[in-house]
Amino acid sequence: MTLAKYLIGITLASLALFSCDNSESLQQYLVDKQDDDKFLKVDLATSLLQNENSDFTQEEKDILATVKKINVVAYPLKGESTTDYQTEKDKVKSILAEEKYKTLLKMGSNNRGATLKYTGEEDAIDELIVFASDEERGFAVFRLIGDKMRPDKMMKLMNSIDNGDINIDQLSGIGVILSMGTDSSAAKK
Amino acid sequence: MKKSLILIALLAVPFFASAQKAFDMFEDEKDVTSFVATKNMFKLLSKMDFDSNDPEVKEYLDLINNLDNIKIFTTENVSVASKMNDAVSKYTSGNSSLSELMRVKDDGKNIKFYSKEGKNENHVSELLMHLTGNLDGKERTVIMSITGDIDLKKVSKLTKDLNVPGSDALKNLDDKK
Repeated sequence: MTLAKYLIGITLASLALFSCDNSESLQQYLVDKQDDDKFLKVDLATSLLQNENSDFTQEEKDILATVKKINVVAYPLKGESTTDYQTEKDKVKSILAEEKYKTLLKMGSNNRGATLKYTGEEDAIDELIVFASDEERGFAVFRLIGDKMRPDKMMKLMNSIDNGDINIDQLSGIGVILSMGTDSSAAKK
Repeated sequence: MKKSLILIALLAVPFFASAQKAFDMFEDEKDVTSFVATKNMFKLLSKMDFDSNDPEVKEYLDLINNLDNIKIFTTENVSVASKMNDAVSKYTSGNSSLSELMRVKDDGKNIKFYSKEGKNENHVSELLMHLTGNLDGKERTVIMSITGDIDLKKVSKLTKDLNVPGSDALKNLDDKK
């Protein structure tokens, strides 16, 4: 019986070690792809989004401060071999399948799909991730990176975009990639 | 003795969990339109500071707050449809706690609702809908599975907003109760 106990302990410990070795974080993966020409990347500090003459209240500023940056990495398909695309996509998929990436929503139809995930707690989100793919256009990972972002406060902040306090023009740089994303999200409806 | 009981319980957990996942294989299947919302989503929504003075919004939040999962799978592909039908019949026949709630045949559609007993007669812990037949001029098969603490009187409102086919039939259920 004692032997069995030890065995179970050892198996559990080795399993834990094993899983640690295998886990590749999304951050690590995306950093690795930083110099890969196949990928399109956009990094945007959210401080850029503020209009100079915007009049945010202190509370709104505090909320904005919890959002650090927007990061988009995309693999556009341009008619080349899809095997490499498939391996990269599967890699991202397997990373996102890890437990720390909590699934909010999953949608898919035929060759398109989108997954909405987050890390952190539901009232203190560290990272909001959208993973969208389209077998004809490629895949993209959108990340909103922050520190303990509060969804309820974020909603309030969204309303202030209508007031013109946030400079959306700064986002036009990712227009190309975004159009890919919005196309696939439009298709879901 | 206690230890072995715990061990058995732990071993049994995956089996219970897999019952929930009877239809997950359709998520990545081609020709399937899928929609999955998880408990995290509902928790997040409940944290949102909506205009909670509105009684309708409040009622809505109450409903989704108690849900664990919503999964909807739709297909027009005949071979996938037959796989779905097999999966449903296997799931419903292999699960004695799941009983047929209602069957509707209407306008070329066959809709079946199954439910698992909940805390009282208006609440169920699982609701499964299986629809086959002509929908908007096309032969389709739809599976919808909702788990959690579901208020049957209110759930049709949610499925209607999610545009789930067959919601009308579910609404009739409310009227009958």
